[in-house]
Amino acid sequence: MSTYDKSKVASIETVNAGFESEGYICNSQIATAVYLACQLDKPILVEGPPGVGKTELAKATSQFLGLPLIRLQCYEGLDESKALYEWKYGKQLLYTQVLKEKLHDVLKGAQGLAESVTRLHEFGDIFYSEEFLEPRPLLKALNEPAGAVMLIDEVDKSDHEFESFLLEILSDYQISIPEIGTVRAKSKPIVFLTSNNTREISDALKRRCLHLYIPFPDADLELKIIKSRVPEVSDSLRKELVAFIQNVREMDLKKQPAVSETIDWARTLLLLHAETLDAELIRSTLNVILKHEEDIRSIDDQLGAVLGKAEKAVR
Amino acid sequence: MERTLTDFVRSLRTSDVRVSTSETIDAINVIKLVGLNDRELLRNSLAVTLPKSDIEKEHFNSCFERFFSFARINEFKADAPDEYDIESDEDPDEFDRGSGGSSGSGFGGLGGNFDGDYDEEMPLPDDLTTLEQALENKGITIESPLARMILRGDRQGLTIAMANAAQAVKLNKIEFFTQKGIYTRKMMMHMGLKELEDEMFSYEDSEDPFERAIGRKLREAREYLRVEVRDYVEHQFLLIADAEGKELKEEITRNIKLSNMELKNFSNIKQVVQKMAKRLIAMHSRRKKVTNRGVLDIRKTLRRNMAYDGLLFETHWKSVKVDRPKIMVVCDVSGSVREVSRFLLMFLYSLTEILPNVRAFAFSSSLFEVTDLFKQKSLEKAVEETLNEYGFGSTDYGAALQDFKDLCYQQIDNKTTVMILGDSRNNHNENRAEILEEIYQRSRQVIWLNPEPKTHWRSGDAEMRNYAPYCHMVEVCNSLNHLERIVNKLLVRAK
Repeated sequence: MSTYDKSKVASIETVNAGFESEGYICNSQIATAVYLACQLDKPILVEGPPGVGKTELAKATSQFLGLPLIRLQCYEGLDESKALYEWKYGKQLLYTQVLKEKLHDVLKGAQGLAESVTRLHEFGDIFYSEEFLEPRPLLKALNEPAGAVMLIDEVDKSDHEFESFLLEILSDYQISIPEIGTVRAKSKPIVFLTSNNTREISDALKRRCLHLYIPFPDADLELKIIKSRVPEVSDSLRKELVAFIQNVREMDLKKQPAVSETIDWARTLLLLHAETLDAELIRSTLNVILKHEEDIRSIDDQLGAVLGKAEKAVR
Repeated sequence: MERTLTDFVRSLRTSDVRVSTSETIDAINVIKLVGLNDRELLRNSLAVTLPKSDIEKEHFNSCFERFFSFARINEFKADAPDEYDIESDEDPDEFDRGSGGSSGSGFGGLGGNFDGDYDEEMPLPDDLTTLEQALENKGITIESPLARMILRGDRQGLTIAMANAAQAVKLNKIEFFTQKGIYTRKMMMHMGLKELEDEMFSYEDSEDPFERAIGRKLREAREYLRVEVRDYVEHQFLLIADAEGKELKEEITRNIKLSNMELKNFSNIKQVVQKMAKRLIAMHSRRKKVTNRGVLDIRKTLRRNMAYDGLLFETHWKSVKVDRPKIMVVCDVSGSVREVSRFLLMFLYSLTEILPNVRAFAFSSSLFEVTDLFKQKSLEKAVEETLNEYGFGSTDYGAALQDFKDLCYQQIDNKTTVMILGDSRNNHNENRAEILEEIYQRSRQVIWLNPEPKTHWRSGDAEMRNYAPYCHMVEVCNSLNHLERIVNKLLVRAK
């Protein structure tokens, strides 16, 4: 069984507090999901717009529980030899060479083909054994004796076939390797899958997971996050910039600024020793929060109005 | 608890949240873990277990609100009764308090609740407690347990009885709003309406005015019960069947003729079309690695390996070539197909989303390419703009075909499917079928989708009989179901 401290996930409150001590501020939905995942040994599928802290959640969990984080970045064309295991071909070749030289000794005095084959059989089947197995992230996570936090990042980027590979791991925490047999998890890892919704994840996969949707945070939560991540920023500036970002998100943009961008922006403003927001400052740092030229232009046009709204919200 | 949960899951399913059995089992485990005491916690926990996308989460939230609010409404009504005057008279508190007979002050305001005619020949005291006493004095006991429950104001007992009755009459199978009456009746019968009524009639027929008053009282009790049960059924109907009604509506929408649909159904149709397109996308967008599957091509392998002294060093596989289909869709938006062109365009728009290489054209007399417009604008805007700019003119297929040929004859090759959506009503213009023949010769297939029924294809200015020989497939297409079937066929072929 998992060897991490179970008392850390004994209730939702402790999970919440634990995350907070790791600098990850979350709402009760997230804490509930992690709590249930730990209690029920189920993987969590985390969805949400980019930059709201999906990957960060897995990292925070691994730090909080003191477990190693094993990360598998998915991409198109990822297959089992890169994700599950691979045979050490070089070593196998070398072994063949050794075997070839020894062959004469082994078969010395053998009468006929049948006996030779029998002798070869006695020689053992180590060709396909654990020694020749190169574990890839998924197998590594299962072999971790104390359990691990397994992060399968951007699962939507992988192919359909790969999703099917995952099913066995996700429901039973085991992998079948044809030559060896079934490898079971030494202790069940905590699995996070993240998805940016570039394509629909199959129902079979969804069914096996708890589903957590992380939206953009509301103003209060975002304030807390900024406070925890960039504590040097003054209270008034923090309020102003969060209100500004919240207003920007309501606009029709190609890509809305996420929490990570808010944090970056807060750091930028800190670096520039800004005390309050003004139009000029925002204009010159807009490229930190907006990543598309047309977005920057459309905000630029309405900067006054957005800023005004933000200021009103702060008061 | 399991029963409640399965009912909840059922109501989730009817509001478009897909919940599998294993998820239901998960939910039971979750409830075991978190308990039922904390509503917010329960909601959060079930929200990560049952719904599996953010849209489903929204449905889940509204469903959760509706499903787990029933008990609260009931309580509220018990505290502040409004339409059930009788109920207030039989408030249990006052009943207990008044048993001594000195309840005058407590009932001051309530006396007015009785109907005028009730007071007219009122030999009974006008409050319940004294009624109960009076009954006792006279040695009359009301037999029907249901009536006793109502008269005692036993709301809890009543709720339980109602829930039991609902289960017994299988209220969760209710489908249409027209069934509400019959289910109400059935539930009341199950709760013991007959006994109550028998007793009521017998008292009402009695000579004794006192007993007649009891009869009236029972009648009021029955009325109260009817209202309560009806409300219960109504609530359950909204929970269970409303979504099924929605499905029914969708089913009808899919079969109805496009030209008969009105603009007010537009949003509904949009949803159906999008749903359909989404399903088609899911079915066909799956990239199968056909190329890499196949058997060893021995001849090629041997030939390749001559260089290696005949050692089979480099393998060569027979592979399947995947051809990417190209589709060109020409859509008639002239006056004669006004009613359907909107939907055809809508579907055309969805088609451009499903298939990678779709070029879209619209025409009334001259033809324009709208591919870019469709790519840039949202569905409503694109359709609206196409209709405004190119639509509602008089039709000239000959000119349109000529334009089409001028525009992209060069790009038509043996992988191209040309799809024409239109009624072929040409206003007696030149039909120029020979152009279609050229396209027919050059392309992989020409498909004509006609919104008119087959019988009309030869009537009036329809040119279908001249065009049909140069099409690989001619189909009637005037309902969404037709569209789906055809496109599905097309996609399968295109693979």
